[in-house]
Formats: sequence, C-alpha cells, structure tokens
Amino acid sequence: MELLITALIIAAVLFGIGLYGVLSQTNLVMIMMGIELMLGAAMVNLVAFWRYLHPEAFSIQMFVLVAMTVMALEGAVGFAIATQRFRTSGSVEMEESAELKG
Amino acid sequence: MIALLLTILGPLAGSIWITAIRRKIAYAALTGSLVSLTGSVLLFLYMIEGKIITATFAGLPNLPFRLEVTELSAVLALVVSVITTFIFIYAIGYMAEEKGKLRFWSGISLFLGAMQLLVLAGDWILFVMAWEIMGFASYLLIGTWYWKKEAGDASTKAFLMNRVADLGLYVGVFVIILTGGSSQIAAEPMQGISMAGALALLLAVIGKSAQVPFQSWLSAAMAGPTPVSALLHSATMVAAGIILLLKAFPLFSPEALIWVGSVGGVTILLTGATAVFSEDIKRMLAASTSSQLGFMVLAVGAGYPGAAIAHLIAHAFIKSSLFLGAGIFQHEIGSTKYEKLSGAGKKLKLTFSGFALAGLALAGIPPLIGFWSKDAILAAGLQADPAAWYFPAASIGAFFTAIYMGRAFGILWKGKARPDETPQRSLPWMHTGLLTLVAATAVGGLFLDPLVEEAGFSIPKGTLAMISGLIVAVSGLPIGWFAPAPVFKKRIWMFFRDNYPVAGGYNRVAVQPMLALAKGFNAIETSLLQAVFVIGTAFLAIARWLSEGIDRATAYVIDWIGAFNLKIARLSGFTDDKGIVEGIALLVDSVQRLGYYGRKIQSGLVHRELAWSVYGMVFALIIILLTYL
Repeated sequence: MELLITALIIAAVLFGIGLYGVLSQTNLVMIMMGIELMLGAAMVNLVAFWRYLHPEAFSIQMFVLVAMTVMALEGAVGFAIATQRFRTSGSVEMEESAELKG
Repeated sequence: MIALLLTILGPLAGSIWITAIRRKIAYAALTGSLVSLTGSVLLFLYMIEGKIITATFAGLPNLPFRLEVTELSAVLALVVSVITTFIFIYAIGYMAEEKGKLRFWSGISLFLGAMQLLVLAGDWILFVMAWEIMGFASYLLIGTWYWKKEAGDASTKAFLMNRVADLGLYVGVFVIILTGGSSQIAAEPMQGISMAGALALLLAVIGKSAQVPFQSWLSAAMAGPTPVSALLHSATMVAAGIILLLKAFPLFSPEALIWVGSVGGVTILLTGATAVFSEDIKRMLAASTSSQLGFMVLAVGAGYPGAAIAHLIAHAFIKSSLFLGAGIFQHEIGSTKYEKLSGAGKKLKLTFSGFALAGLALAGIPPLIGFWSKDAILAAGLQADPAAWYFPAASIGAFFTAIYMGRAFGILWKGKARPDETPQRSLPWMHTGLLTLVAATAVGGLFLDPLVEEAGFSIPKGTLAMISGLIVAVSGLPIGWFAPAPVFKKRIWMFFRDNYPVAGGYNRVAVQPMLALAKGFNAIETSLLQAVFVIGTAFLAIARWLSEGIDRATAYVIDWIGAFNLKIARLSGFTDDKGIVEGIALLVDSVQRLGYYGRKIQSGLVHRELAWSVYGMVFALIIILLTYL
C-alpha cells in the first residue's frame, strides 16, 4: 500500500510538472516535453496499479508498452512538425503560429 | 558522526557549488577542503580519546553501507586533508592564470571527497564506490586541458588502464563477500581469502598504484596541471591502492603476500631506473612515485604494514612538495624538460631550496622524514621471512632514488640562469603551499613514529637497515650530481626512459603484425574477386547466347498481350474522365468548405486550446469525484 501511494505521489508530481510545462511554455518542443512527462506519469500509474491489484497478470504491462510506443510516435511526429515549422518560418514559438486561422 | 560527514561531504558540497553556481570557485574549493580538514582533525581527536565512531546506513540487502573511523583511517584522513589543503592553497596561485578552472576545481573537490570516503569506508561496497568516483575524477582532472591532444589521450589512457585493473577489485570484493558472508572491512577477519581473490585485489592495487606493468599511465598523467599531479601522486589516487592493501592485509595468506612483495620489488627496480634516465622533471617524479609506491607494496608484502603506512605518510608530504616545486619551475620557465630547466634553481632560490629539502628527504638523508620511513622499509625487507631478495631490491631502489634526486639537483643548480621571462604575480600563494609542506617533511620525522603507533601499527627498526640506507643515500646523491649529462642521454637508456616498450612497444608487437595480416587478407580477397570476375564473364556469354533465342519467341507473345492491355486501358480511361474525376472534385470541394467552417470554431492559439482541454479534464475529475461522494 505504501508503495502504491509513493508511486501515485510521484506520478502526480510528474503529471503536475508536465502540465505546468505544457501550459507555461510557448516553444513547441518544450510543450512536447511536457506532454511526454504527463504520459510518463500515466504509465507510472498504470504500473503501480498493476503491481497493487493484479501482479499475476501481465496484460497491463502490455498497455504500458503500447503507451510507450505511442509516446515515441508522438515524439517523432511532433518533432517533424517542429522541424518543418522551423524551416518555413524560422521559429517554433506557438504564439506566432496562428496563420491557419486565416 | 558530524565530523565524519564534514570530512566527506565538505569537499563534495564544494564541488556541487562550483558546478552549479560557478562563482568564487577557487575559494569554494578551499572552503570545502578546510571543512574536510576540520572534520578529520575532530575525528583524529576522537580517535585519540578512544571513541569509536561508526555509522551504518541503508545499502544493499544484508550488506549495509558502513563508515568507520578506525585508528588507521583517522590518521590517513588527517594526512589526506592536510596535504590537500596546502595543495589547494598552492593551486589558487597556480591556476590563477590558467584555463580550465571550472573543471579543475570541481574535479579536484570531488576527488578529495571521494578519497575521504575511500579512507573512511567501513565496508567493501562503499570502498568500491569511492574507488570508482576517484577514477572518474582523475579522468576529469588529467583531462583538465582537454583541448590539447596530449591531455585527452593521457586521461583516456589513465582511465582505461585503471578500468582494466578495477576489474580485479570487483572480482576481489566478490570473493571477499562470498568467503566471509559480509561486506564489512574487518580488522580481524574470521578467515582469509583464496589465492585467486588475493591476486585479483593485487591487480587492482597494481593499476591504481601504477605498479609494473601498469605504470605508464602515471607518466602520461603529467599532461594535467601540476597540482593535480601533486595530489594524484601523494595522498590520493595512487595511495588508494596502498590503502586497499592495508585494509585487505588481514585477509591475505602468506603465499599471496609473496606475490604482493614481488610486484613491489620489481616495480621499485624498473621504475627507479626509468626515473634515473628521464629527461623531464615531471616524468622523473612520476616514475619515482611508482618506485616509492613499490616500496610500500613491498613492505606490505613483507608483512610489515606499519612500514608501508610510515612511508605512505612520508612520501605523501615529500612528493607533494616536490611536485609543487616542479610546478613553480614549470610556470617560470614554461617547460619541464631538463635541458630548459638547467640553472633554473639559481633564479628561484626559495623554490629550489624547498625542492632540494624535499628531494633530500626522498633520498633518505637524516633527520628528514624520508630517512625514517625508508629505514623502516629496509628493516622490513631485512626481517621478512618469505623472500630473501626484498632487502637488496629495496636498497638498490633507495640507491636509484638518491641518484635521480642528485641528478635533478645538479641540473637545476648547474648551468646559467636565464633572464626573467614571465613574471609571476601569484607566487605567494604557491610558496605558501610549497613551504608549509616542505616544513612538514623537515620536522615530520619526529612525529612519524607516534603517528604510526597511533594508527595501531609499529615501525620496524634495525641498525643494519639504517646504516645501509644512509650509505646508499650518501653515495647515490654525488653520482647523480657529478655524472656528466651525456651519460644519461645515450640511446641504450631509451628502453628505460620510455617505460619499457617491450619488443619495440605496442607498435612493433601489435600494430605491424596486424597490418601484415590485413595485407595478406587483401591479397586473398583480390584473387578471389578476379576468379569471380572470370566466372561471371563466362556465364554472361552463355546467357547472351540463350537469351537471343528466347527473346525472339517471347517477343510475339508479349506484343499480343500489350495490344490487348491497350484496349482495356482506353476503356477505363473513358470511365475515369466522366465519373470518378467529377466525383472527386465534388468531394474536395465539400472538404474544403467543411474546413472553412471548421476553422471558425478554432481560436488558432495553441495555449487557449490546451487550457480548454485542462478545464475539460478538471470538469471530468469533478464529475468523477461527485459520483463517488
């Protein structure tokens, strides 16, 4: 139980840091880093609950692996967007990226 | 307990301050070392009172980390922090006009912290940790001027050689824990360790203390700043190997001790000869360090750790003074080569007299500190049961010591003094550090005996040892002083000077055979390729002959299929134009329109959207909470 609560607290702190990063940063790359942290927190939760509730089943670990894959994909796509954005406009500041609005 | 933490954490805190805050770095490092000094003085006083301080804290399961102040570790911690403090004072002057301050000061503070941890470690796992941190810190320090190729290579060499030897420590500690069932460093262990374990530990000692055949990293390490050399060669780094030996001494069987002593004896002779024929003052000092550490290893191997401790303390003070003196010469002259340094002593009389006093101490002239410790080693060699050649080896080593010190004095003093080139503004700092340490070597002989007694060991003594030590010292010094310079420069001595490049060094032994092998493989491959080429040409001819016949036959069939396909294509092209293209155009148009309306809903500002999603999340959370309440 103590282990679960420790893990949950760590996850909550991670999530909070990630959320703060997402909301406070204007740089696309930094926002993505925040998102990664939040995803990480979610995965810590998953693992913690798996250990606490169903330590005999391994299916939940698969969820974490899937989430990790998604994280990697998200990173790849995000960075591709950031690179492209930087090539076209020379900056990845999100405040300056509202042209699609028209 | 607090004193214990002060001793170890003071320099570490200094290192963190330097890396993180980057202001007042030299003074932060000095403060760290002073804190460590205070801590170790307190520890020493507690130890004299008879209080035994141990601290156990969580470590591996069933193998907790322990810090323990034994008699030995209190004395060693005191010596380490005293010497380091004066080297730090000196380094403030030395580094004042050098580059790489940040790396230097943070590295050297880390180094001191790791050394204190190593000295005070009460269990083997903590010991290994401190050992590793020190290896890393030495890598940083030797590579302080990492933009020079020489320094980068030297730090890599030192690190790699130490890594190889560290393997021995891991195996040895593993054996110790398996044998005794506990990781505690015990003064009187239940049972010793096997021969293999002892040899593994010996390998670690050889690497760290630069014994033969791992001695060459120490000369290469001269590429670092001089205070680093002074520290590496005196109370830390190389001393760590001896401390390992002292801590593991009770575990060694008499048979294993013979191996230990032999390594020491061989090192004394080989590296002593290297020092005699060196052409560079810092390289001479480096080889001399290996040789002097050989004395300590030999004393432990002979079964007299007390003599080793005495020499460890004496050598630490002497060698740090010598290096600090050499560093001042280097700063003034801009080189450490003997030919450039010729006559430098006349210009820098104060530095020279400090250097000379320390050098005489190393050669073993009474009543300086080195006389007493060397006498102890010789007596240990004489009284040792296991091998009869310990005493001759140690005597010849002492003779070499006197020769190379005499030679260095001669070169520094004889010859014309050059005019001033680079005036030093920071000399006072450097002189403070140097002269204090020299003073310690001058009067330290009086305190050596009680200090070793305090550490719980005794120094062996003997009239014969004392007399023979004095004879070799007194006869060696004039030989070094008066022997004409060309004698030492002959080509035959290259072998000694370059640290024994066996059979032409790695180049001849490894590189050239590999190149020849590669050439042979290349020839084989070329002929293989030619054969393949011939076969290929033959098959090509056959294939051409076959294909001409088949071609003609297939051409008819393919023609016919082609014509049929063309007809189908025409038909489908017709339907495409009419039906599909128009359908797609309509789809595109509607998507575009959808997008136009869709983007009206968006604000276009990423953060506003993100904030909305956070609000949504909070809302969802509230609903979930309400459902449960």
